Amino acid sequence: MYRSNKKIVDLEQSGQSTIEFLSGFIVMVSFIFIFVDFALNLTNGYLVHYATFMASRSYLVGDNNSNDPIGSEGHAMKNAKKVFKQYMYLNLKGKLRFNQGLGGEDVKKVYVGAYYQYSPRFSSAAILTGNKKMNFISESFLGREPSKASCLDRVCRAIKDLGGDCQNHTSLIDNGC
Amino acid sequence: MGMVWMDKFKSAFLTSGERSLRLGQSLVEYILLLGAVATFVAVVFNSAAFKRVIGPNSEIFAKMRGYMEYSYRHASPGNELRSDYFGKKHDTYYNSKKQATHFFGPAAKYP
Repeated sequence: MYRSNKKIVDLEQSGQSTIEFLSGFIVMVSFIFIFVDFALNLTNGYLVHYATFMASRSYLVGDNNSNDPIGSEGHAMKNAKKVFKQYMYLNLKGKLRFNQGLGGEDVKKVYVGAYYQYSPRFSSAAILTGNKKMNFISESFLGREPSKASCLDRVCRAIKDLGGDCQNHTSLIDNGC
Repeated sequence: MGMVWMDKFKSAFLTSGERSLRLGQSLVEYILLLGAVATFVAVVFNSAAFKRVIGPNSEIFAKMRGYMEYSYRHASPGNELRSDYFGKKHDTYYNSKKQATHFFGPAAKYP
């Protein structure tokens, strides 16, 4: 009799601790999620850095044997984007761009290469941290090798300076530069 | 100690009507307390000082966001993304505070 009544009294009071537990739990889980999001953003960021680096490597050497000194640019960028996608399996909705350093765009030669810009969410607990997105930029400026056409130009100019020409039997070692 | 035990013992043998009356009282008290706590929480949450710490306009999280953006890009501590590709303003390469490059070379000219 006493035990069954005690059980009823206990049950009547269990709602309070449930409400308190839930309100505390929601706040604590939100805080935990802020740091989980930080960690995920950074691990995704490392992957982006590596993919950008690999894309930049591809852009560095991309050449399609064009006879125009800057005719390989499109091919190099296309290939670099392909390489980037091979490493980047996450859809971060960013954009891979290239600093070409061709002269017209005023970009310093030291910044020639690939960069990827995207906007990850700062945290999923927007009520605590706000809804603003971050601006993450991953850069890899490895430069760009001169194209074969560009090297051929230089070699021919040197041969012409010595009194010859490039019309017949001109060999280029490696890419010629 | 003895009184508490007696109360517990008595409450275990209450009729259902008596128990309902007691439950009603504690429910009203609980709701009143909850209202007071909710008011207190609302006052704290709406205060300017609290909004600077937590919320959509939080200064702390804005600083954290800025720090993460900068350190992600330049692998060094900082807060303001200002680098461009047109001059010596890229912080990965140039330390604006020291007015010197991040790269190093020989201290003296090679003979």
